[in-house]
Amino acid sequence: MVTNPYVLVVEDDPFYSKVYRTKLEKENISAIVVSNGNDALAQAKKEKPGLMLLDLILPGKDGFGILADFKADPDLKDIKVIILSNLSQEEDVKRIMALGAAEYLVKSNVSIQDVVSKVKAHLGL
Amino acid sequence: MGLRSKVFLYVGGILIVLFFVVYNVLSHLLINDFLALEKKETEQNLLRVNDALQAKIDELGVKISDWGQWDDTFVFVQDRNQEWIDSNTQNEGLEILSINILMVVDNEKQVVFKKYIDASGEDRDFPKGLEEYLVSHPELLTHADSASEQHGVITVPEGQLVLAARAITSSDGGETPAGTIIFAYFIGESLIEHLSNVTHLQVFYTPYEEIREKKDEAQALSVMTDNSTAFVPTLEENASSAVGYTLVSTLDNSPAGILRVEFPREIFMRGQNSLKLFSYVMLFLSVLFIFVVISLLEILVIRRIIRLSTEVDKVSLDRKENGRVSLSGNDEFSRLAKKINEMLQMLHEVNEKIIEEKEKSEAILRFLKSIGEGVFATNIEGKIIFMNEAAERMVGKLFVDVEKKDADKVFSFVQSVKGEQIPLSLVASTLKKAHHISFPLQSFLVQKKKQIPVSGTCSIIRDPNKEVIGTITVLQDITKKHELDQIKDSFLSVAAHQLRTPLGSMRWSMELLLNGDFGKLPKEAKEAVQQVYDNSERMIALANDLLNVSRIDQNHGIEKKESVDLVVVLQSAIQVMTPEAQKNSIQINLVVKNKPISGIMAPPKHLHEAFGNLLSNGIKYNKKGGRIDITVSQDEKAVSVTIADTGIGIPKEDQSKIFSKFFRASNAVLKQTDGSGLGLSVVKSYLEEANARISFQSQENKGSTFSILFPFHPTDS
Repeated sequence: MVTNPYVLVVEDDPFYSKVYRTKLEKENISAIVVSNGNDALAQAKKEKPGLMLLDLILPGKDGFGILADFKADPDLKDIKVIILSNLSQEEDVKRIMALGAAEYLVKSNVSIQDVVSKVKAHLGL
Repeated sequence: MGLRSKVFLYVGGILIVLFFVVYNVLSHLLINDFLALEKKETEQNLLRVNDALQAKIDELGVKISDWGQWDDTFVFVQDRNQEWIDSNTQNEGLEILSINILMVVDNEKQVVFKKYIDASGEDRDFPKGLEEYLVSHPELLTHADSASEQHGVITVPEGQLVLAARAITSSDGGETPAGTIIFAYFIGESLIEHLSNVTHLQVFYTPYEEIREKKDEAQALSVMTDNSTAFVPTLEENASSAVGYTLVSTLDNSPAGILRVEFPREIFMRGQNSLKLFSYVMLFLSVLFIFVVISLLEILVIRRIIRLSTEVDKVSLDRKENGRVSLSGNDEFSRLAKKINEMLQMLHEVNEKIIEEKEKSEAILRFLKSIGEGVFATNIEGKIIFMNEAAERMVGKLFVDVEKKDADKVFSFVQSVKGEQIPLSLVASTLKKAHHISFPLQSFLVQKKKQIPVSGTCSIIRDPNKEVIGTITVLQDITKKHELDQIKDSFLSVAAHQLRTPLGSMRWSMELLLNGDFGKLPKEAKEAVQQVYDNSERMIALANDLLNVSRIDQNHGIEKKESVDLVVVLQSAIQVMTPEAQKNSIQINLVVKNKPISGIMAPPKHLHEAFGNLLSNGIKYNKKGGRIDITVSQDEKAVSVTIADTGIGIPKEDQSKIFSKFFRASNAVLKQTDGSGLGLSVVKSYLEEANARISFQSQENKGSTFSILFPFHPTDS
């Protein structure tokens, strides 16, 4: 059961997943964490999220593919997507931004507090 | 034709021609002189003959004077006594007188006595012609005074006579002439013989009537005039005798005959002989002269020239290095030989030098050819003039096929920037800048099917006058290094990324802990977690640095260059660093000496990071309450930025290594335990992108001053 608007987190690393859940819950932001692209697509179609936090290195379809799928779906293409990855190479950043990501954050270089602030700002909370 | 034959021909020819000219002129002059002399002699001889004839005629006049002025004759003409006839007109007497005719005529012109004897003394009939002549010439028998007498030549039908007629007077001369006595003799062989004897010349007489029968005499008569009674004809050259003609006149001044005088041509002959002798002598002398001249020329000149020429031929044929001309003596030729030897020596020396230089340059070429690095050189137009074997292998073309071709077309270099390939015209750029250019990072040589990573430099070649004459490029195939770098960089990249993932989750987890999201921690626990949190941050920073370095090396870090305002970049870097500076009580001052500063081409992000790293170092390794002074100044060549701190400085022994990756100075390690040793290496790489050079001066415990020089290339892109 989620309350709208909720945050869809796509993250395969259990440690990060746990941190997201814990922190967003603490901040009273409803969130659903999935670990692969298919689940993310299914969840988003089931219930449209207000924001998506997307990792890039994922089992199966990677973040680039997932974003491309979202942007290709007329129902989903307007969902804001913040990329949270440990990749920081400029080519990757450019590529994903070109696909329509709203923001790019390097996980290790930002505090979780900063991530929460960004999420809140995007959700208008 | 050889020199010898020429000299012989010319000298001989000239002398022979000269000889004939001289001989002809001289003989002509001399012969003319001799002819003139001969003519004069002939004329004199004619005079002599004339004089002798006249003397003979005059002699008759003298003889008759005795007879005319003689009382016996005077009486006889009046009484005609037989006694006078008997005693005075004997044949013998007449012969003594050398006369043929004796005649006595009285005043009435009556012949009193007449007698004629021939040359042999015999009586002959008195020539009638004479009597008729006297009749027609009465003046001979008429006398104005007692001494009246006439003599001369007359012509009568019987012949020509020398005749004298005188008045007959008494011996005292007082009486009137009583008549006329006449002596006469025929002009005959005896008279001519007499003339020949007296003059010692051959004399011939031709009476007037016979002249027409003789060609020469007739010609002489036609030439002779009243004034000139002598004629000397021009003789034929080979005539043996000289000839002259003189006219004999009668009493009444009509031509009686012609005397011809002949005598041997002694003067002419002698002259001719002399001339002949002279010409023989001259001919002999000429031949001698030719011989002497040619011999002298032969000995002094020709033989030596030929010798010299043979020697020179020998030297040039032998092609021996030490071949020399040998010619003894002390004249122009020996000096010439000496000079030739000196020149040969010089040639030899020059040749040796050339060989030496050639060997040297060939050795250099061999060295260049055998060098493992590719080497190629161009002229000032950028055309290939040299290429070694390594370069041939790298470009896959032979030098002979690309000689004089555009180097930038043969060697196609590209720089790979974020997957884009930018063509590089290194040779053209080097020539344009007249400045050494290093290959930029990520340079590739484009081959037919692949690209090979290369590094190298393109340098200017200058002649001794410092004029640019071309370029030389050294390039190295860095495929292996490139592959190793890629492996290393991808390792670093993967490692850093793999490190970041757990570090990032650790950081966030501890952040949650510290934030009390899992419940409030006891104070000591919180301190411990904080420590772990700080360390995780350091490790993240280290991982970031590793990523940065690997990205620079892979050239993923290459940013587009733009025109940047250094002051703005510096100010923004200062702004970022201010909180940390304030934490350490460090004062940062920026002094801009002259504005505006523009025309620096650099990627702004990297420049910002480079200044940030330098400032960060200046803060981290400073003393509490220290300063950082930044000065920006500009001259016509470059913009310089100096960043001076009052920190711990860099120990002397470490100064050479501070830009190396992972290096940290000994005192820096003590002061600040964390730090990757990558900061200055990143600074250096980023500044190099902007074509800037960084240097520093430092003294331990006093501070360090970093100087960054941005060369001014306003047109450089």
